[in-house]
Amino acid sequence: MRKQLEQLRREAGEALDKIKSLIDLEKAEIKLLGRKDGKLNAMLKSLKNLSEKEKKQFGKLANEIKNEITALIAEKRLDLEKKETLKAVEEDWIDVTLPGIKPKQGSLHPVSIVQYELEDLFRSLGFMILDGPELESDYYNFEALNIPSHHPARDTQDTFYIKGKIQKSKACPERNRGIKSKENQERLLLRTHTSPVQVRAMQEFGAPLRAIAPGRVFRYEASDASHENTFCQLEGLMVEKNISICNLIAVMKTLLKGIFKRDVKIRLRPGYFPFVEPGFELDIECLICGGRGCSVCKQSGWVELLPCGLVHPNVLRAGHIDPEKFSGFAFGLGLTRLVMMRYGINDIRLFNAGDLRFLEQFGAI
Amino acid sequence: MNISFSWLEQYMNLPADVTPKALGLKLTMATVEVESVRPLSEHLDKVVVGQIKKIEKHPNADRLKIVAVDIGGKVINVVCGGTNLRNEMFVAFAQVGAKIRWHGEGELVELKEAEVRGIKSAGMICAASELGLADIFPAKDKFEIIDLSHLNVQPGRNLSEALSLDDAVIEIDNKSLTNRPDLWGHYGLAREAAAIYDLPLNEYPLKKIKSSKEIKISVKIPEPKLCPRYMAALIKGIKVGESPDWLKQRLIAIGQKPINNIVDITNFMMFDLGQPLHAFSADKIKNNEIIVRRAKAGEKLATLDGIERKLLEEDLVIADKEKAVALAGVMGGKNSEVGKDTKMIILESANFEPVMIRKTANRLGARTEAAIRFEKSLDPNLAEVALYRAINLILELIPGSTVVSEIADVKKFSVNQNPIELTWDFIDKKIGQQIEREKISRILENLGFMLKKKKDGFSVVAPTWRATKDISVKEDIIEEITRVFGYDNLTAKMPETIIQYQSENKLRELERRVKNILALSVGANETQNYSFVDENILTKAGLRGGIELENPAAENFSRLRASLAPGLLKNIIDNLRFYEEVNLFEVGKVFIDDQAGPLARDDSKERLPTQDLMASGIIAPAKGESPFLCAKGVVETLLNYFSITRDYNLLVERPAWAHPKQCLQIIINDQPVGLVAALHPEIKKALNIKKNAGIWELNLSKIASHFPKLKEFKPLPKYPAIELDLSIIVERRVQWKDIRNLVVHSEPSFIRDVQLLDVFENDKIESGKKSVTLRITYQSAERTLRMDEVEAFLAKAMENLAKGAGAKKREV
Repeated sequence: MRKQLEQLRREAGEALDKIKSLIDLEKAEIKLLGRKDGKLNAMLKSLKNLSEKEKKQFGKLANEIKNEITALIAEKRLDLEKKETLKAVEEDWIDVTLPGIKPKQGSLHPVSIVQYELEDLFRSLGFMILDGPELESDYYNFEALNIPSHHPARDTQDTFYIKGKIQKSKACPERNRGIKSKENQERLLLRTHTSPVQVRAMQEFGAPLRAIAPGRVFRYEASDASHENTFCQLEGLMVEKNISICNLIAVMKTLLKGIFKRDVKIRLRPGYFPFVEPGFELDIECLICGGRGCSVCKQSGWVELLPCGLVHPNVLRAGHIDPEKFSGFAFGLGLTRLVMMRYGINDIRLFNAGDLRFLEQFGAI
Repeated sequence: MNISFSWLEQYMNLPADVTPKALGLKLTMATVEVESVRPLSEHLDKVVVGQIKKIEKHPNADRLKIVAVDIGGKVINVVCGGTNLRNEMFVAFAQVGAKIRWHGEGELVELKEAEVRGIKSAGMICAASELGLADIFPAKDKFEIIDLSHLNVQPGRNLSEALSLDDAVIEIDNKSLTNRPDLWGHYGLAREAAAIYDLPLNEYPLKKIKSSKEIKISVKIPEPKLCPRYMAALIKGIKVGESPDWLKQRLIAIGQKPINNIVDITNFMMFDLGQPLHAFSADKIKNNEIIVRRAKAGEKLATLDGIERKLLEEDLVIADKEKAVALAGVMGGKNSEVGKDTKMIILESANFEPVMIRKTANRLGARTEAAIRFEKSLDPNLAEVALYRAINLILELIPGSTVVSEIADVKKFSVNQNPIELTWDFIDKKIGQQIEREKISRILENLGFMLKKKKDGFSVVAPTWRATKDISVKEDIIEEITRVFGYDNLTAKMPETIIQYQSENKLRELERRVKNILALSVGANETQNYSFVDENILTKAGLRGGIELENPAAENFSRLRASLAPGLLKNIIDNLRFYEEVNLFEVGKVFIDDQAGPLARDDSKERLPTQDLMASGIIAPAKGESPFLCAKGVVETLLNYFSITRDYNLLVERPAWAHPKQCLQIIINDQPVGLVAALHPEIKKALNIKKNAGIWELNLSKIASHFPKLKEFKPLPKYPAIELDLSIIVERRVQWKDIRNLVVHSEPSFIRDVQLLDVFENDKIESGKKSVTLRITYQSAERTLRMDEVEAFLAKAMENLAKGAGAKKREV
């Protein structure tokens, strides 16, 4: 019996050594340790014919051998499993240079991208983000901004007018007495700048006030690569006690640092806009040539970027703010032009053309 | 406007080291925008005076000559086709390397040594147009060369020196001058330059005039408001002829063409002082009687440019008893033009109502140099100075001419010169830093302001030439001080401010998030379309109307969009040429003609049209996907992100472009806020759109009130959910909405979710029917559900479906 058991032990060791696959291991395990027909079990069954002493003696040995074989099989299994995984990994080759499987990718309009960047910048400086009507009254677009009828400044902003007129003050007929009916009518128009939001914001929120209003504006002019009848501006307004020209310069410098992510050299020169006094044109040093002069800056070294100024007292009054108590500054950034500079877009007409070949280039940043 | 540097220099003693360029930069920084500064003789570097020494026939060409030209110690042979060549003639000779314009056309070209029909030619004898000097040397034809024999200079002398063309032109952007009536002439700009350099301005040269009562002249102004001042004088002994060189050079320098002495003098005055003048041929004015009146409706006047103008009562004319002789402030009349035989003139110097001039000039398309000055509100005092100086010049340049009338001066005007009070404190606060008191006074006085010191500041009176419109409030004075002081000399300083909460604009916030979700999550592309709609698209899409523009950019773009759909339809037509699938969206304002939008004025109840912010998209999906369901999916994803629950209605009044059977209205809180629809096949065909498309629209202005809506957190379930799938066969037109409701109502307390897994029709299913597979999730918050009870729930759901929808269980 002992001899038989020892032989099983030997055979098992040899057999397991030769096994190369998990399936063979499975088979071998059944053959050796299977409950029904396993070799060891068969031997154990034959123990019952032996004496108590022998039973004890061989039973112990048989158990030892069973544990030994079980351990060997477990070891072998681990070994084989590892080999098989390695083999599978080896065979699991794909062409890693294939393009990735993409979820659908959309894009924001380039104006939106830059606009939101500026909104974040201004929000961080405590400005509100406002909106205003694109179809405006003559009052908000011109009159309230200190541009009365027939003011020559209206020439520089060719206007799209709406057919028909509305009454200036239907609600207060007593006020109409003595006014010729023609003068009492008001024209509607497409706003020529975002500045009407200044007065609307002052009327709604009062002072102190810090707000920007990005939006679409319209000019009645022929379009070409650098002119459009529809484009975007970003109006800015800050009203506080004691706002000075020096304050305006400081805030504009900060703003430009935010836009260009570095210190930008600026210069301020007189500019005439009836709704500010004094009014300025803010130029930045040409980013293309660094101020040496090139075709972009027409050899001047400077690029006109940002009209601005201290809010005219008449405009503060139109916004129901007392110019003796408060003062403010305002600026109008050419948003579309800034976007063109940012991305090097050379034709402004692409902005409203709805061409996916243009739009999808911009992603979200 | 062009400004001549040497003209300007006459009125001040600029230090020698101030170049035209430096002055131009100073003016830009303190006064007006200078567009360019260029020497007048920019391209005349290598052009010299030459003298013809010999003329020979060209052996190979009949029209050409071989000419020997002495250019000072050197004789050069050139081939020349000039028709007026003669020996000893002085000519303008372009040396090799000079820049010329061939036959006066095209770009400047550098001259090279050449061979003309076999003969070497090292330079060129020039015609006036080839050097850009046609105004000084008018030629009969392009083969006539310049004759400089009258100049009396040595050969070899530089041409620009010989012609005194050593001037520079400073070009100023007219737009930067609209608010400065005083800067439309050289004297005004000289005043600015003098103030900038802190130099004295020379007094304006005027001599006394002897008037006479020999001939009577009368001026009548029925409506003085329209013509605050009219001055005139009668001058006899006029000999119309060429102006002297100095005068011609002044005009040529600034790009004006000399015409004759009288016209040149009036033009000179306009560019010297900014005051337009006009000379009438006196024999054409009946009884020397001037009437400044409104035109009669329908009255006609042929102006100097030869155009017959039809006038309105809103136009102002200069007339005699019988006829209009000039369009006041805009242009003279042909019928009273000064000609070469004119012996006596009436010289006019006047001031007109600016708005009237502006309207007339704009309406008639005659924005003349005179009109653009009058419309800026000129100082009526200027009329007097200009008239006297012009008479001085006429008497000086035309010997024998005399003033034979009194100087007529009919005036009724006042210039607002109310003193403006300023305190030092106000000035310091507005500027943000202190500028020396002394410096401030000097700047203002240099500009012609009169200061009176007060205890804490001063009161200041603006000069008349600044008081018509330009200067009226304290802030105007701040600008004067600071711009001349130099904005670049100020130190930036952050405002002192309080930190406060700024409320958010909900609509702007919603707009931004909608765009981000659509672009970054839905994977759509943002487009921006014009606010004007293409009427071709509009008509073909079965749409009509919209607010109309008075002056559209193009005839078929005369209406404002009432919906974003027409723009998106155009986008899809264009983009399907390049793309298989398109998913575009736009967020923008639309315009409804209802006078129910924002207030038109804060002091009236009149309102503008409604201008709601819409989000809208168009989607042409991949083959096999329903455009309608894709569009609906976009809307649902969007609203899910905002946790906004919605409902759908069948749309009764659908837009013509919407598919009648694939069209839903989107409802939030019982309010319609948008729609989703497939494109109507007929419209698709009419617009020639190659693929089926779905369109969705959401009115963000209406949704903004539901935003932001915070989702409430639900604790995670403690007990397991059981999911069971059920496949049924129903009639084709049974709606999912009803199927879902029938299932939910079968066991409302334990059903947590009903999902659609699959819908299909095929030949294994009875025709007219479809298979629907759904997954029901059962869950209790209190306990673990038993399988047997859940199976009973499912049976009940099936029973409901059978009863309510005629469903049969599909055996899988």
